Amino acid sequence: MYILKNAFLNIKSAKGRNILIAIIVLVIAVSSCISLSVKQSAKTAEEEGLKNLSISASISVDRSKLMQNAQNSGQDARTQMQSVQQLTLEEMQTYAQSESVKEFLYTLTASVNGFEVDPVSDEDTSEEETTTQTPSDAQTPTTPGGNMQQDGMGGRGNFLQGDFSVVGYNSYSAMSDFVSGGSKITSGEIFDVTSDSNVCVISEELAAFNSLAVGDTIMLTNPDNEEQYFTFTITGVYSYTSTSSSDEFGRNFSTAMDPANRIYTSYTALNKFIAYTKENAEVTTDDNGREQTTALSGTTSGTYLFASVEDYEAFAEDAKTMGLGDSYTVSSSDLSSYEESLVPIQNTAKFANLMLWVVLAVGGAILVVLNIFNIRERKYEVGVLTAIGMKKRKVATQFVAELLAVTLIAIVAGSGVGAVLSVPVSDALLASQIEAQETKESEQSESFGRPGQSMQGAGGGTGSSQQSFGNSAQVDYITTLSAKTDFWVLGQLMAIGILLTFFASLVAVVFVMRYEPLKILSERA
Amino acid sequence: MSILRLENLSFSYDSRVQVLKDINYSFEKGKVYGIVGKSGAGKTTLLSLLSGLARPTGGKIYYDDKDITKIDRYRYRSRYVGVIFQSFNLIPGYTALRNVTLSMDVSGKKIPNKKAHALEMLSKVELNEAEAGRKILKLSGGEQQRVAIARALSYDPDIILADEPTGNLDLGTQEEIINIFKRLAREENKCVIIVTHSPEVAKNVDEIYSLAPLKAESAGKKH
Ligand SMILES: Nc1ncnc2c1ncn2[C@@H]1O[C@H](COP(=O)(O)OP(=O)(O)O)[C@@H](O)[C@H]1O
Ligand SMILES: [Mg+2]
Repeated sequence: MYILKNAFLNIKSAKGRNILIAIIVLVIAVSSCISLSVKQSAKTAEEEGLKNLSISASISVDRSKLMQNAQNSGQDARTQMQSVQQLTLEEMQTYAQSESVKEFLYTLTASVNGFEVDPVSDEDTSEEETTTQTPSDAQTPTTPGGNMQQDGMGGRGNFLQGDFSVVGYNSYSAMSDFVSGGSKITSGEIFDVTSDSNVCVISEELAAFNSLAVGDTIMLTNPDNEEQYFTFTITGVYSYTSTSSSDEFGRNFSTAMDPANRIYTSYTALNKFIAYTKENAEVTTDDNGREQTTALSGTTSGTYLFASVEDYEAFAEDAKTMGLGDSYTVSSSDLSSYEESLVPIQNTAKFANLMLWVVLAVGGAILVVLNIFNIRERKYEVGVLTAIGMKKRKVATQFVAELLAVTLIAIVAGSGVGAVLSVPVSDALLASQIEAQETKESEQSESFGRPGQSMQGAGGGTGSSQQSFGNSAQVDYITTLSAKTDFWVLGQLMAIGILLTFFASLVAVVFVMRYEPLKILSERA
Repeated sequence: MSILRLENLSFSYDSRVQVLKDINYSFEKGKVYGIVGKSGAGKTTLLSLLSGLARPTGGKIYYDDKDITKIDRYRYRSRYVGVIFQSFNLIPGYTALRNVTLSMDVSGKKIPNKKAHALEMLSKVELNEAEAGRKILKLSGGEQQRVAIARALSYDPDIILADEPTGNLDLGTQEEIINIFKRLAREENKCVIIVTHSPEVAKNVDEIYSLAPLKAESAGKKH
């Protein structure tokens, strides 16, 4: 093929012109390579993260919806909200029948007092025995979290804050603190979660505070009726790391919020206790006509686990068809915090995408203009070539081949440079995005007047309530992109190169096709 | 039998300015023809028509009894005719040698050892290897003219069209060139058509056609 030989000779002899084109294409290739690598790695990071994410969700009352309804119908928001109750365990279990649910976990939380067991507290409690506090004056302020739960349960009567919070689990998976490694058994062992015997684990601090050890028993009492008690055997003592600032926060309000005073048991055991207090409850009616009961009130929260985001989304649909009312919402705090953790990466990818298009548009325009000048300069050459009988199609092919060769060489070189540069550049881009995001977050926190709360816990009622109240969370952003220039990126680069050459040389082709040798040659003469 | 035959050939630029009108010439193989005429008579225009660069606006040109507008004009130009343009039409950035070999490549003819053949053609017009390796830009007018001649002959076409091929040459070389053309006609049975002002050339050709400027045109600009 003499055309290729000729093209090669032309590239060699017109060095200046080709070096200029090569530099432009090199710049386009380097920036495109970086952009594409960043985009690709962001996508991979997002997909990988999603794949490894086990999603948990809970069903809660959709308060914003209720408030909106109240506004629309002119009804009192409080009436609206009080008319809707949190789901009962039975209801939650119904929805757990959905095929999308991998596992259904639930916990029962109750606030109790202890007999001859003192809660861990910084304050000196020795003189005034907290365990003997009378129910009537127990207007203990609760934490925002606790309050929310209460509102949702509307009208179940006053909820007395005890000294300890007892949490009953139906499954080991539900014990998120242990699952995440935040809490660890340091002596003894965890109780059998399926057992209905009264067994529990307590914190090291509580054990030390009351000189308790594995095998000892503790007596937990109903704060509303100290006569009602259950004895629990300690099977293990655990240590915990206080990861959430809400722990510190809650501790100042009530001892029960102090993680040291948290007692873990099985769902069945705690439920038995609650059932017992209910059977033997005294019901009275207060001045406002509200019913008051001395029964121990437990808060059930359910968490659905899913294998994938799709399953989670399918579940939301399923629940609706299974009869979940409009007043409830299915939400996943770990999905939304994961999504939040992606924000910097997504912003980086967006920036990379913008950069790609700008570079392509500007670079492409320069290349086209440069090519127009080139072809005009080579007009006489075209005239001669066609005059000696070279078909215009071949002349055009030769010109395109010249441009393509230069472009491909520059793209290969550019993707090499780009592959090397994409790692530091993408890390720098991501770092600046994270910084920007964190500044935004901290500004938000400031305006809320308190630091963000952890959403680490595997959802549950608390997590989703926090969410619906817009507390900002401390997000673990994905901080590395490890931008990789893979074959997909290289393929895209080649496509870009061929497309650029195509557009740039389209101009050449049009010019060549329009040229008439007789005219060119007689102009020259 | 004539290799080229013009039948009532007419031509006008931009379909207004008539340059040629009702020309009936006939050219045979084995002969050297001379076309003479005043400047602006339309000699170059006639060669453009014969080489297929321009299309007749009236009448017909037959190559080997085929209407040349009916055959692939690129193939016609690259294989059957060799043109020595008045303004040479060489690619300035290429060497003399490359200009010649490119034409051989374009012709698509099987020519063994193109480079050696091109050098041989160049040496026939008194250009040595050093000159052959020089870019056209660095050659004198006379040297360029000889490169143009070597190029036209390099792929062995049936017809040689030459537009004032000796204009830039000294008498000695002129004679060389005329001898080459004569030998091509006699020994290789080519049809050589030379546009010329030179009485020396005119004396040596087998047949002369004289182009007179058209009346309307004679009042016009001179070339
Ligand atoms: N490309 C062109 N467009 C318009 N007129 C032209 C063109 N080329 C030549 N002419 C005119 O045609 C006439 C013949 O020109 P040309 O064939 O070059 O004459 P010659 O070669 O005999 O000197 C002249 O009057 C010239 O001005
Ligand atoms: Mg002329």
